[in-house]
Amino acid sequence: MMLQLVASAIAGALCGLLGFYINELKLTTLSFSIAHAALAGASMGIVLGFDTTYTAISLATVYALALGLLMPRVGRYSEALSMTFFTLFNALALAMIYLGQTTVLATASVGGILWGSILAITPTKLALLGSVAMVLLAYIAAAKRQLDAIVFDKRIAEAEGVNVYLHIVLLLLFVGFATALTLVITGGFLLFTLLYIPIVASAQISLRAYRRQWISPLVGSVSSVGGLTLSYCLDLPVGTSIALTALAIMALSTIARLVTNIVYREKIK
Amino acid sequence: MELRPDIRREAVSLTNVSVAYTGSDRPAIRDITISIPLGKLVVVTGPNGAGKTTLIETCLGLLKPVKGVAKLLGVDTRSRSIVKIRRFCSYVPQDFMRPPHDHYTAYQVISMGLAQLSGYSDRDGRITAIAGKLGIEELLDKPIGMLSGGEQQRVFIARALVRKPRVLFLDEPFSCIDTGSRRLVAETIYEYVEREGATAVIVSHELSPLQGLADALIKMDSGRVTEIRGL
Repeated sequence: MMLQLVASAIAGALCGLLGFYINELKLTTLSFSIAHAALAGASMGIVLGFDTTYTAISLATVYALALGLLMPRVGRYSEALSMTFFTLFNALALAMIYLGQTTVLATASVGGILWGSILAITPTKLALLGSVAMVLLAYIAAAKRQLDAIVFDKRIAEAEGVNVYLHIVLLLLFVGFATALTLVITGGFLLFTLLYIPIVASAQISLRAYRRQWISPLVGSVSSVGGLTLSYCLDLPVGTSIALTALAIMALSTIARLVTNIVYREKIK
Repeated sequence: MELRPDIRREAVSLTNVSVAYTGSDRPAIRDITISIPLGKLVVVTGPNGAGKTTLIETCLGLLKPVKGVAKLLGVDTRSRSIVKIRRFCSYVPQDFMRPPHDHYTAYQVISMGLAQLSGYSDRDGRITAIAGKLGIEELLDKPIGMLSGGEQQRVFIARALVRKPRVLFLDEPFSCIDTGSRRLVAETIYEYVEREGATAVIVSHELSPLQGLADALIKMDSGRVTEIRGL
């Protein structure tokens, strides 16, 4: 159980931190389609008989790289393009899942990638997840100033010689790794839980970007560990439990914000 | 390897440059040929829609010409190395205003100007000095979104100057600043250009703050340069 708890804590923090950049740099749609590339990759793994995590990583990262490189060329059509690929990946995933349901073993695997299975976390995958998280932290520490400048204003940062597209491609690659590795925990249906809900919750807690940057991974981590515990206690699918925990934290932070706003207005009166 | 701009070359050189936006059937600027040497304070003026902002974004390589060649500090803006060359430039856009919920402090915003620069020393000293010159030292700890338009504009000009750029592009830098402070800002830019031998390209409808300070004037209308003086 300790292995699973550590893995879910890391996955939550990783996705929460990436969620901050995805939201600030308006990469939500692009990340959404990358997550579906991970799902399609995992589904292909079932049919082809490979480890689904590695096929998910392969397709998600290759697609993230291609998308990042295409962005400057397609400009304002990048979102439409990524949604086109989303359709392709969804179709591919469904076709593979359909083809993969021929054996009992495959059915269990299909269940794992659709609604998550904490049993799929192995020491090797935990090590991989930890490595990706460490590399992301090292990258953010090294490029903090440039990333802050991009988050504040992409155009001014670009005019000042910050390689904006390089950083966007790198962040999309991290999204590819993170979604592929988180797929086995949350499942394909709820893959976005840890990418998007923590940043919405963190925005209720603080408006300051540099605080949200650390609150979001914390919310992600707490949601993930809390959800896993809930799943263990109530025998619920792990992805569902994580999503419900994250949503509960978001609801609580929203209520706290509303109460704070009312108190503040009363003070002004 | 760190690139150095060739200071013997022009700051900006455009040869028969035309730029069109995606989906538009007519160019925003047409057949423009200008050469701006280093060490000049150049004012670009003209009516709305003349192509002034397009011109400076083309000079910076943020927009690519559909025809002609644009060079910044001797480097073609289509080449990959333009990203590194931009480290020697600063840009204050026309639409700089930040919303009230933006909580980066003025100090953090100015400090972001140094994000891509290496080898600089005394960051605090540089920021405080430039903030003092522009009269915003009292605002450094305040969130940018809580400042007035004029105060924000001065913060962005401070960010541009703290980088010690070779070429400074300012799009309507006096638009939100009160009449009394405009001359102070113009003189700060002028002093910088004189002291560092840099070039400032200023797009402005408001020419009075720059009286006696500008070296050259470029007038534009309907995407074309209609008059060049002092170059």
